[in-house]
Amino acid sequence: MKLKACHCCGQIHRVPLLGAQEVASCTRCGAGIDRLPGQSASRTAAAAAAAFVLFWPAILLPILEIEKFGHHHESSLLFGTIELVRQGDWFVGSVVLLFSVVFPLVKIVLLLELSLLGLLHRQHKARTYRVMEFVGKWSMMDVMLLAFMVMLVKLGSLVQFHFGPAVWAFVLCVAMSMLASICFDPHTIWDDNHG
Amino acid sequence: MDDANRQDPQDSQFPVAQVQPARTPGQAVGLVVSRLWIATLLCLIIALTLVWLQVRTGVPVIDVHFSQGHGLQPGDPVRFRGINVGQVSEIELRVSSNGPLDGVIVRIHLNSAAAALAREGSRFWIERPDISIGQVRGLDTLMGGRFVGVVPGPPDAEPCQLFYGLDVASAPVENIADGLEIVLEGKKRFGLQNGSPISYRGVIVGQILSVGLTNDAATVEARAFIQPNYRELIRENTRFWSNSGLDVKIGLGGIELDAETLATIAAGGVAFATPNKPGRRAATGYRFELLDSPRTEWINWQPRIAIGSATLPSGAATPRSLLGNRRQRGAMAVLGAGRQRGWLLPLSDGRLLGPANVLSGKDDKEYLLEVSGQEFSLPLKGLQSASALAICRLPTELDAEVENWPVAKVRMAQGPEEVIVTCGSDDMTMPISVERLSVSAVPDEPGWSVDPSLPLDDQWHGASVVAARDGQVIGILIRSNDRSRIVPLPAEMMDIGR
Repeated sequence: MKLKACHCCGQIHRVPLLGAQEVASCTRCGAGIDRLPGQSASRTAAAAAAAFVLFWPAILLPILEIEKFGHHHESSLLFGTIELVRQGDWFVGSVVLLFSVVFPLVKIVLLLELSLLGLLHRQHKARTYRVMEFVGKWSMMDVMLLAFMVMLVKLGSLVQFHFGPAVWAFVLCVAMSMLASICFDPHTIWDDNHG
Repeated sequence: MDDANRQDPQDSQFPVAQVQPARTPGQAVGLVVSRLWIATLLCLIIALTLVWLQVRTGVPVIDVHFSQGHGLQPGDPVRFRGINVGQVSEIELRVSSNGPLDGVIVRIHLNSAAAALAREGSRFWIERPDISIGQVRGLDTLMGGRFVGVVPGPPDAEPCQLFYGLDVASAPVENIADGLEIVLEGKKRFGLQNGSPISYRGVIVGQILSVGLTNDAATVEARAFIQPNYRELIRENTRFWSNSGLDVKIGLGGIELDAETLATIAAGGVAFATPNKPGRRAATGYRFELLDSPRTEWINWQPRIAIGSATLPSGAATPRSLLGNRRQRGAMAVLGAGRQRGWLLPLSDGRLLGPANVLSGKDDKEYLLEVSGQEFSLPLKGLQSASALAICRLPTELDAEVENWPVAKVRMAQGPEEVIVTCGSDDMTMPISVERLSVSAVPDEPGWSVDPSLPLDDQWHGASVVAARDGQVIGILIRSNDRSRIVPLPAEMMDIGR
C-alpha cells in the first residue's frame, strides 16, 4: 500500500499493489491515478521519439512556397527565422527562433529523457522535470501553426502560396509532442521501483 | 507526516482506491512497451519519406553560363512551354581563365519530370521584356520576375550538366532538328536580322537564325530555318528574294505602296517561290542566292507541293509503283497500236494491282506487258478485274526485284477523303484535298472525279492513291477521256488481296 493523490480532484488514496491488467481509479471523480509503472513512460517515450524524428524535417524542409508577382520564394522554418535575424530583425527573429524552434526541441528531448532513461538520479529528474514544465509553457509550435492558418486566410488572394512538405511533418510533430505531454505521468518520477 | 503514513498506512483515514481492469488493450496486455511505438515507427517513415522526396536523387542540377544576369534572382522559375519546370537555386559570378568576372553562372534545379531538358543541345535564355516594332514578347516579365526559358535539344542527345546560355531573349526555334536549315547568300544584308520572317505567298514559314559576313567578307550569309511543316516547299530550284521595307512606286497612276507585313518593314524578311516543276528537295545546308527583288514570273509560279496535313505521317512509306507498258503482240512499235502505259503496284502477297486496260486487253488480240525491262504475255495468271481496276499474280521473275507494298496497308474507302497521289517519286507526288474530289456522276466511270484544274496528265495513269490520314493505299488514279478519277479499291478485290 502506498498513498497517492488524485491528480484531478486531489483526493488522497491508499493504492494497493496493482496487477498487470489493472488500473487504480479515484473513488471521488473516477480519474485513473495509478497503473503499472513503465506503461506511461513507454507511451510518453514513443510519442516523444516520434515528435523528435518529425521535428527535423519540420524545421529544415521548405514549409512555405510563396509566389508573389512571379517571384518564387521557398523557405523553411529554420532558415526563415535565420533570414529574419540576418535582415536585422534581431528581436523578432530571436523570439521566433527561441519559442518555436529551441523550446519545442528542448521539451521533446527532456520528455524523451525523462521517460526513456531511467538512469537519472531522482534529484536530477526533478530538476529536469521543472525545466521541462517551464520550457513547455513557452514552446509555441502550435501557435506557429495558427499563424500559418491566418496567413492562408489573409493573403489567399494577394499572394499565391503553397505549403511545402514540411507542413505535414510539422502538424504531426505538434500532435505527437502534445500526445507525449498528455501521456507523461509525473508521478512515475517518484516511483520507488522505477529508477 | 509522510513518514508516519509510510509506517502505518492501514490506520490512515484515506479511502482505498478502486481497482479496475484496464480499458485500453495496451494496458490489458500489460506490456511495458506501448503500442504507441508503432505510431513512432510510422512517423519515422513519414519523416524519411518527406526528406527523400525533397532531396530525391536524380533531380537534375545544371549550370548555365550567361554573359548577363538581366536581374535574375534565386528562386526564379525555369519555364518550358509556359509552365515551370525548375528553379534557379543560385547565381554567382563566373571566374574563368579568361579573367575573373566575365559572366554569371546560374545553377538550376530541374523538376525530375523535366530531367530530359538536361541534355546536350538544349538552349537556355533569360526572358525579359522586348518591345520592338517587329514583335512584343516577354511582357509577363515586366511585372513578374525574370525567368529562364529553355528549348530542349534532340531527343537522343547525351545528358549534360553544363550549358552556355543564349544572349538574345528571343526564343530560339523549336524542333530545329525536324526543320530545314539552309543558307542564303546575298550581296547586302537587306535589313535582315535574327528572327526576320521567311514567307511563302505571304505566309510565314520560317525565320532567319543569324546574319553575318562570309569568311571572305564578299557576301552576306544568312542562316534560315524553315519549319518542319513547310520544308517540302524548298527545292533546289527555289528562288529567294528580300521583301524588306516598303516598295514605293511613283508614276502617272499615282503612288503605289507595297509591303508584306508591318513586321517585314521593321525587321526585314525573305520571300521565296518554287517553280511549277519543283526540283529535288533541298538538303540541310543547301546554299541559295538571295536577290533584292523577285522576277515577275517567280510570283506567278504556282506549284502544288504536299505540305503540313497533306503530307503523310512522318516516316510513313510511300508505295513504289512500277511503270508498265502494254502493247499488241506483233504490231509495229512505232505505230503504237494497242499501246497503254500505266503504273502498277506490286503487293506483298505476290499480286500486281493496276488499271484494267494495262493488265488486260481485247479478248481477240494478244498483248505483251513490259515491266522493269522484262516482257510478259498477257493475260497474267489469276487476273481479275472490277471497275477499271485489275489484279493478277506478280510474275515470279519480278518478285525478287520489286519493292512490295504490304497488304496490311491497303484498305477500302468509305468516301472521298484527303489523299496523296503518288507514282513513287518526289516529282510525281501530289496532294489532293477532299474539296477537289467529287463522286462521279458518269455511270461508265465510277469513282471520284478529280477537279480538272489539277495538272494531272496521262503520265499519272495508275498512280497509287494514299490516304493522308493513315498512309494506306485506298485506290488507283485512272485517266480516261482526258479526265482523272480515283477508283477506290472494290470490295471483291480486297477479298482477293487477303
